[in-house]
Amino acid sequence: MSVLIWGVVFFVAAFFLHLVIWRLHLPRSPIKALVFIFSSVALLGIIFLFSRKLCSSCQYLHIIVLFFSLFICYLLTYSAIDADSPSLVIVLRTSKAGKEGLPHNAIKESLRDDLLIEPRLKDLVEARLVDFNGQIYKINQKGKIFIFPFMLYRNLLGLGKGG
Amino acid sequence: MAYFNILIPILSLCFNILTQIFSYKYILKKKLLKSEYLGCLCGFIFLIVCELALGEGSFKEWLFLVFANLIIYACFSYCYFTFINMGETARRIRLLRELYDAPFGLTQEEILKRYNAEEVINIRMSRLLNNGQITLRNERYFVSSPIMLSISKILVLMKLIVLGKESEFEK
Repeated sequence: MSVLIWGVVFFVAAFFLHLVIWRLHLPRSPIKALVFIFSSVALLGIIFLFSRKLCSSCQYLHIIVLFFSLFICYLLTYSAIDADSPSLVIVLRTSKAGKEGLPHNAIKESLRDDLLIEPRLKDLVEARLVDFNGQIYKINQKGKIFIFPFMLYRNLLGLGKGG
Repeated sequence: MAYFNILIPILSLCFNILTQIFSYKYILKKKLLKSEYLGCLCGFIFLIVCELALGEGSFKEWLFLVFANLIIYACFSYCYFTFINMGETARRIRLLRELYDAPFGLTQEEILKRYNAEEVINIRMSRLLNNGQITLRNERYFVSSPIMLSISKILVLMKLIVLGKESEFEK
C-alpha cells in the first residue's frame, strides 16, 4: 500500500511545485528544470521515508520506479503542451469555423514555415542535437544518438520518414 | 520474490513491444495503431497472469501492489506509444532524419525544400480525413468526430494551466 501512496504523493507534490514555479517564472530550459524539480522531490521524499523507517529497501525501489514512470509520462506530455501539434491546431480551427466550414487555403495561409518548421529547427539547435554555423544546419553526434532508436525501429518495421 | 515484483511491469512492456512488432509485421497487415492496441492489451494480460501467479501476503496488500504495477505498466506503454507516434508525426524527428541523410549539412532553404509547412499540412489533413476526424465538403473542412476535438480541448486546458496561454502561436 505504501508504494502506491508514497509514489503518487511525491509525484503530486512535485507537479504542484512545478506549477507554482512556472507561474512565478517560466524557465529558459523547461525540460532541465522539470528533471531537477522532480528528482529533488523524489530524493527528499526518499530521505524522509528513510529517516522515519517507513518502508523496506525493496519498497523504496518500487516507489522510485513508480514515481519516475509517472514523471517520464508527464515529461512526454509536456512537450505536447509546450509545442502545438499541427493536427490539433487544424481540428481546433475547423471546429471554430463551425457550420461555415474551414476553407483549405485558410489553414495553408495561417500555418506557414515560420510557425511550423523554423521554431522546431531552433529547438534542435537549442537542444544541441544540431549544430548551426549561421548558414548550415548539421546533425552532431548527440543528434545521431538521439535519432538512432527511431530510425532502427522504423527501418525494422519498414516505415517511411514520417512527419 | 518482492524484488521480482518490480520487474513485472518491465517484462510486461517487453511482451507488449514484441507482440506489437510481431502483429504489425505478420498479423495485422501493417496497421500501426491496431498493433499498438494489441501489444498494450497483451502486455496487460501478461502482467495480470504474473501477478496472479506470484500473489503473496494479504489480499489488500496484493491488490495495492497490482494497482501500483498497473500504473507503472500504463506509463511504460504510454511512453512506447509516444515513441512510435513521435517517429510517425513529430516534426523534430523528421527534421533530424533529413539532416542525418545529409552528411555535409543543409541550409534552411534546402531543409524547406525537403520538408515544409505545406507538406506538414497535407500529411496531417490526409491523416485526419482518413481517420474520419474531419470531412471535406465543397472545398471546406468540418469536424466529424469528437475524439480529436476533445483531445485538442484537453491539451488547450493543460496549456492554460501549465503555461498560462492557449497556443504557442499566440503573440
